[in-house]
Amino acid sequence: MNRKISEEELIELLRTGEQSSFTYLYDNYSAAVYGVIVRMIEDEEAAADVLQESFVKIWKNFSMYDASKGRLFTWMINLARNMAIDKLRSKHFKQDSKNLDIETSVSLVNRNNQTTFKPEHIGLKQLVQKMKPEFSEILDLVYFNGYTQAETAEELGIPLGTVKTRMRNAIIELRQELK
Amino acid sequence: MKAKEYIESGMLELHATGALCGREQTEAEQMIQEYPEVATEYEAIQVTLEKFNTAQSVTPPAHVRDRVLNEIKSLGEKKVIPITRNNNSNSNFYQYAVAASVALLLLSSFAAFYFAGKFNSTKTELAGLKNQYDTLNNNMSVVLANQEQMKEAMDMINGMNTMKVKLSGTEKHPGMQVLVYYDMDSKHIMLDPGNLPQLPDSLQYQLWALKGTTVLDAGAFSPIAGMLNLKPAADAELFAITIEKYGGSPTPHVDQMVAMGKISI
Repeated sequence: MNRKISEEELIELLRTGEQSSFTYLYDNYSAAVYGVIVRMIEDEEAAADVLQESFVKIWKNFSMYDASKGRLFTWMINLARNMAIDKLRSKHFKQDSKNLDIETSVSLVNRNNQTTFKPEHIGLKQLVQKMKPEFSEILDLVYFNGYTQAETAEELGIPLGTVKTRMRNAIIELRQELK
Repeated sequence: MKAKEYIESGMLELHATGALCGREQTEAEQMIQEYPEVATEYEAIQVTLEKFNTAQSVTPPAHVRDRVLNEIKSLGEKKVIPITRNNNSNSNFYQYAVAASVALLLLSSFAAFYFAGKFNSTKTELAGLKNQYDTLNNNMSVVLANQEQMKEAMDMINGMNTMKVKLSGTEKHPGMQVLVYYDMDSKHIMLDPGNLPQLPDSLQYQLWALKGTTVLDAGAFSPIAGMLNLKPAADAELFAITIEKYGGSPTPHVDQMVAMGKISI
């Protein structure tokens, strides 16, 4: 963490299997990854387990990361989101969370965790609140609940084509706000 | 334009969030590889989502860091390094090795099936040939046995002391022609049934050897195509054939005489 290195340099270092490069990866990316996981899973301990499992998997499967297909961050965050979804859908976890179904547990998480967000996220919270509800809603489903397009269309009662355009417009809005 | 349309479609946004699978995912990857403007757009989307994510970072509990780093350490260089190095020079080797072994496996499976098929058809062919051989072998024995009989018959017929006696049909059975060969030395008799018709199953022909008032039974027979060996008769001047019950009678029924002939020296 002494100096910032570029994503390309970090990927090169990770490929050598040097463990210090992994420490660097964890120190720089774990908070962003954990932010998503903890938003998806209400239980902090379970979220911490998923974070650990995700980073171990990132380390083990690093050879499968293909830089030509997307950014390292995208790969890591999608891997972690999938681990969180698996956890939410696992029988064991469902029993532990008193048989809450995914949607309920996730929206519960959203409500519960907003209070634990750190001050630097207030800007974002405002940003999301400022967004059209239909945009924040679709981001929520697709991004934090791991819904597929078909599931999203069904949940929102809109056609598949609308899912795509709405998703695009939501991100365009985000893009402008986050510039 | 295809790239612009694709950008407008919203598929890239879904792709960035991992919401695509199967064909759509492959299509997105291809579009990104193929069109630089699609790749640029995809990069911008990813950066946006990255900022969005980073903005809501939550620092995980400190003990998780130790747990993760310890687990990585315990996985050790032994496992991790080969995996990561695979991506560089070795991966080609392993890819080729795997491809080669798969190809080899396919090839040998194919060969195994091919030769198994060949083997089976050869087995069937061989069984067929063996059957043919057995049949020919049996036929050959029959032919040889026949030949042996023929030779015996010929020897007997051509013997120095063998008489050929021509038996002709009686009034009731005109046109019958039967030949009897009689070896005067050994008293052996052979008969060529000539044109004697077949009889009902309950009846047979019977040959009698006569000399003066003596009548000797020379055996009952059914006509076949070929020579018949009959019973030797001690002395004969005349041969006669009658129709008797199956198996023959002790004395001839003269009214049932079919043919007769005299030995002429």
